[in-house]
Amino acid sequence: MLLGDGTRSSVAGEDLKRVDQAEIGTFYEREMPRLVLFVTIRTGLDIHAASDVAQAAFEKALTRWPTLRNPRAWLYRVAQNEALARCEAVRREVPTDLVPDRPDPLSAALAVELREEQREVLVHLRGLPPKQQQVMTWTLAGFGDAEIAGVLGLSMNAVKQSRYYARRNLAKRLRLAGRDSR
Amino acid sequence: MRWRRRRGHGDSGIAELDARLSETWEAAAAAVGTMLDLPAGKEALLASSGQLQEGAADLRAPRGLTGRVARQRRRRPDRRLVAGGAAVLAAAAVALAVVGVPGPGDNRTDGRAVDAAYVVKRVDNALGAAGPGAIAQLTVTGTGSAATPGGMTTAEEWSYGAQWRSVTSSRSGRPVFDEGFRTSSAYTFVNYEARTWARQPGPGLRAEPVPGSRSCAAAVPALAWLFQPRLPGPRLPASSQPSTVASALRAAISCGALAKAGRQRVDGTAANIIACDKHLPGFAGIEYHCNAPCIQRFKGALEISVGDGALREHG
Repeated sequence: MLLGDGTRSSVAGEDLKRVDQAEIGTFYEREMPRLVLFVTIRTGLDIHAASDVAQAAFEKALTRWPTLRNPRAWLYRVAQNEALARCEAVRREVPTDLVPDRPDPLSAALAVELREEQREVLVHLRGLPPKQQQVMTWTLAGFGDAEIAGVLGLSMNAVKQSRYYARRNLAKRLRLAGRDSR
Repeated sequence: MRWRRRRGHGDSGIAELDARLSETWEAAAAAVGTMLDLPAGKEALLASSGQLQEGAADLRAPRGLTGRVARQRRRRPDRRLVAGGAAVLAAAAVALAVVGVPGPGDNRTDGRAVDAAYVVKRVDNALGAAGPGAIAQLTVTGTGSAATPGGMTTAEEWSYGAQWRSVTSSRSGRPVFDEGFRTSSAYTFVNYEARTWARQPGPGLRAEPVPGSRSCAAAVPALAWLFQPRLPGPRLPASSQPSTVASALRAAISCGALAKAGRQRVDGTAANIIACDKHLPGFAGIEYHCNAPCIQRFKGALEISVGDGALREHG
């Protein structure tokens, strides 16, 4: 909508009509599962909650689609922030809730679909220290160093260093011989 | 993966790690894809795009509004809102007061617009802090109660945070029980059969932290009250009271006791449609991701009226 001083915070009706629905549909079908997986691994939300977060992020992205320089990075960042906020809200909101145990850190439904060694990889990925896990997850989601550095507010060197330690930790935990992992 | 790898000592192990990571990520993404209803999600997304087109076409804010709001916000202290239902209700009440009831001497239209925009933003913040899944609506079909022996009853239940209301009706649609808990009026119970009502402070028994392991084995039996034609009341033990119905629904889904049937818009509000499995044929639930108008609608549904003279106070 056009705001009073002419700045543009989101897309008005005319601009929205120019958004290619087929393009968005294709983008949605391609990215939605990856985004849900990303949110699940990053925040520990189950698949259903993560899909809600991802859907909401898509809806937000839609309103400003033509103005986004990097829609994919924007989408992932918004979904991540929304998921973390939801985790925090739930933590504050339900101090006496009966939160079920998670015998497997992954969603039970997802765990069933994966082989044992794949489950092991994801479990160890979830178990990395926060920054290493953050950088590694963004990397696995297909983002480059510059994009990750920009999104996370880190320097390129910090990204590379975190990934180096993440890969070293993962190799160790997965009992793979690896030292030079930068 | 895009990271560059420097060849050297241990390279084969890292190559194997990279391969396993890539393969696992793709396999997990594919598995997630099979769990999601992508066509329905896409349809909902594109439908929301259509609504935005209709709704956004005529939206034009007054010139300079952004600057005025920014100045207004700079002047005010930046306080984080307290999470939870109380903050939501307070903020919503303020919003109503400012938007709907301008002061008698306030003739400055622009000033009201600034205040309204500012307060609406605060309401949004409060709603976000309260958690989008704190609202639920349930329909529970039961096989009768003491008041309607042998007959089917249907309970319509609304829950907003810790506040809730349940209206139980007979098969013919005649209301049988009406009960609920609001922070303003405490626990209220109406028996339409006996034409009596009663109130007592508190939500019944106070919910206490449940000791021991927080497992599905403990959580799922505690959800039994969801499938009875009434929500937590005085007779329920403290350990069986989840703090919110919405969180109980989420716990049940996580444990596999309930399944999410899909996601769609209900009255313009994004909602999860929650279905039961074959063991709970009479249960259907909706978890709302509410916006401000939706919250107002829910708050209205939580109120029980007992002052019309047709009912007498119990005991």
